[in-house]
Amino acid sequence: MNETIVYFPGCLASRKFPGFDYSTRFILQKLNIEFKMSDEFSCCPDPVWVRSLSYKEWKERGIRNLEIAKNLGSKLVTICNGCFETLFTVKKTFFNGKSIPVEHLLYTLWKNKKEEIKNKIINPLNGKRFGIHEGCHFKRPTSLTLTEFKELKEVNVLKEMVELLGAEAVEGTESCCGLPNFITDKELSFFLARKRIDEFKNVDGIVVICPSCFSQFENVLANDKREIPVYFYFELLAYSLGLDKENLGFEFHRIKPFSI
Amino acid sequence: MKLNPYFKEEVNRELGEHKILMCYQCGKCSSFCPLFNLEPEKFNPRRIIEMVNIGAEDVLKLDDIWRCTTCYECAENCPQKINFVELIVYLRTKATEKGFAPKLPLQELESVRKEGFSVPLSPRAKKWIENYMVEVKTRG
Ligand code: SF4
Ligand code: SF4
Repeated sequence: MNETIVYFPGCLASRKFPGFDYSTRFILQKLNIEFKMSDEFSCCPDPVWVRSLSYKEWKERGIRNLEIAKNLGSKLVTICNGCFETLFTVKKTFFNGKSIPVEHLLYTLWKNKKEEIKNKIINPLNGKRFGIHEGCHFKRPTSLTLTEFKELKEVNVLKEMVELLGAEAVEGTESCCGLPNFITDKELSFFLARKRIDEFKNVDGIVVICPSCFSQFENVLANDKREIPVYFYFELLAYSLGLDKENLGFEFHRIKPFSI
Repeated sequence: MKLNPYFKEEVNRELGEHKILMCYQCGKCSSFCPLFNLEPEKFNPRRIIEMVNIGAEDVLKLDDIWRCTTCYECAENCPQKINFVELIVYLRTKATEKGFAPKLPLQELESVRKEGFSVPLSPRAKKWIENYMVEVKTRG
């Protein structure tokens, strides 16, 4: 993969959970992936509320972000399902698919870097058992995503990537974390999250690939005084590849992660 | 319930190819919807489509349309390939134009308008970034 990717961290990973952004940059460097970022990027914007309240502004900002990215590299890569959904959908809808390719970093690494990751693991997570949650907007709506990422039909990418680190991955129903309606019906939103969390029995934690799912699960667990830690996949990967624990940004977690 | 036939025409024109009119009310969307399965009284996507297709413009005033999480379970399972999320987005945009939007999500839009971002940068995160983001330390 000799190309420059454009890395789009998104609002939550760069402003609320900076350890996610840091871990990702560490991973990209460790895997010798050349990347560029831009201070010109704005919020993706959020595919739920900004799109629902002002479709025009959502579209215009999405197009603007893609235009900036196009001049920086050959592929736009996100670490958030929301950013992925917005930028991918905008590209599909308004550029007839002909703008810069948009991918979630998990897919990019699964597709191109599995072997290299395997060879570079310093701290394997052997013996750990994690509930895995890809989140809705990693591949849905499949009418749009499967046109480009056909493998996602058969493969659970997150499962393979967690197993790559030596841990056991526990699958569930792939249902929604409930974050989007937290703001309009908290009770229903928490209900959805609890249903999802309760699918995972006897796990050392829950692994997600979207900062929104992360924040939803942590808030519900903290509210319910339950000590199940939630991990962002790229934190675990960065740790496995040798990032020092104190640099992971664990102090931004609401539920203390177990020692890994 | 007041009916406005122009409303259903407008929705179907805006979303293209009279897609929403293709709904034959089988209810599969609702049976796969996680919200319907928890609280059928609070949220029923089949019912929302029905209201649109008979021209019940008051659907824009319902709290229901703000509950959908946009998880796409409905769209994945609709035999008529209707993307219900597109409809929800459209109805919410219309409701906002008419002043029916709940306050909280509007705050996020305002923040995007003012700062360009939906999430504020906390002083704690700012400090952490200044301390750590300079170089990436490795053990390997
Ligand atoms: S699944 Fe499709 S056709 Fe059936 S009721 Fe829902 S929208 Fe209509
Ligand atoms: S997208 Fe909305 S209507 Fe469709 S299944 Fe999910 S919550 Fe239900």
